[in-house]
Amino acid sequence: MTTDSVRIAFPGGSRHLRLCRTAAVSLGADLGLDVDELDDLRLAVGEAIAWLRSGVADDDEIIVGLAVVDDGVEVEGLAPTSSGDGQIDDLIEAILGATVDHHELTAADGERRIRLRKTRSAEPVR
Amino acid sequence: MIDPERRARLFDEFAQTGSEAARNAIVEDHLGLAEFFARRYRNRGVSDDDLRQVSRLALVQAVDRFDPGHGVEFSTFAGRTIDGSLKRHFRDTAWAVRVPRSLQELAVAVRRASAELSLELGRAPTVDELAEATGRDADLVIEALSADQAYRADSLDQPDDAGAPRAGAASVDPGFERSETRLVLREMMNAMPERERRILELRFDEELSQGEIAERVGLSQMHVSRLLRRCFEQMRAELEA
Repeated sequence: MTTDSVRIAFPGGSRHLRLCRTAAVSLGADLGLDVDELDDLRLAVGEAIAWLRSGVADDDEIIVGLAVVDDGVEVEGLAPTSSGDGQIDDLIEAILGATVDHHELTAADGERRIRLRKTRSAEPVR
Repeated sequence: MIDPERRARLFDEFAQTGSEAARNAIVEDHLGLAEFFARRYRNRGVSDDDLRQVSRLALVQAVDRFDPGHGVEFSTFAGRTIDGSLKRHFRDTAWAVRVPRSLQELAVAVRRASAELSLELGRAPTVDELAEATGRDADLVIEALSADQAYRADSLDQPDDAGAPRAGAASVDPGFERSETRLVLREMMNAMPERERRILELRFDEELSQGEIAERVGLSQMHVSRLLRRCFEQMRAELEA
């Protein structure tokens, strides 16, 4: 069940990746992720969105949705691709594989999509 | 545009005699490549003149360092050198002002408190615990956590002129880039301290979980998690340099 969500849309030429990181950390903190889990999430969001926007023109819109779903934070992103072949370098794969519980990065039909999920490992400390 | 055979002769001449004329001819032949990369980073807080200067200097460095024996096209090698120099320039200049100083200081304080609390609690702290420890609002702590390590090249990986012809980039073979990235990552792993290298090998060569790695190397899972993250951040920074 979705309890909290944020939707961010920004042009490819802008520098608003930090907004996405802040939103992810904020949702994760509300969910009770600890600092290590928040760091993992921050790193993963940075990697995935950097890939998402690497083929985007300055005036194309990138849309990122972040939501708390059950005991985890889910991040989905979509961007039109104007250049590049959507290759995913080994370091991105290594980082996402080690920092989030699920990740999908796809490039097809002129679009790039990302999907991440970071699940809380323990009951939150209150 | 110099044809490939003449270019090869110029590199031979430069390697054998250090001929300034040969060096200058190669540099002049690739000024368009330097200009292309400089244009990619326009309108991002660094003057066009500075970008051009950094780009041309990197081109000269690329000529000096290029070894034709490695079988890589000079334009590919020069492109990577120029791009790396421009990114470093941004990291050293424009990026430094993106995060307010007060937030940078808070980020340091939050990291320090996090380390202390982890020892005290035997687990990673929460944002609320960090807020209490630092005497700051939880929202500020969240912002500090988000800002920390914010200087990666996320905004620099795309061309400034999306519609501009990518003449320089077109000469870079993606297959080469991929295989080279893999080699570079392996080299970076090998250059890590013994403990970090062992942890990376267990994670990626043996595909063990963080918990399994922790048992193997005699550390807590939290410690393994932090070491891995630090390795990744270091590798990403080095890959982009």
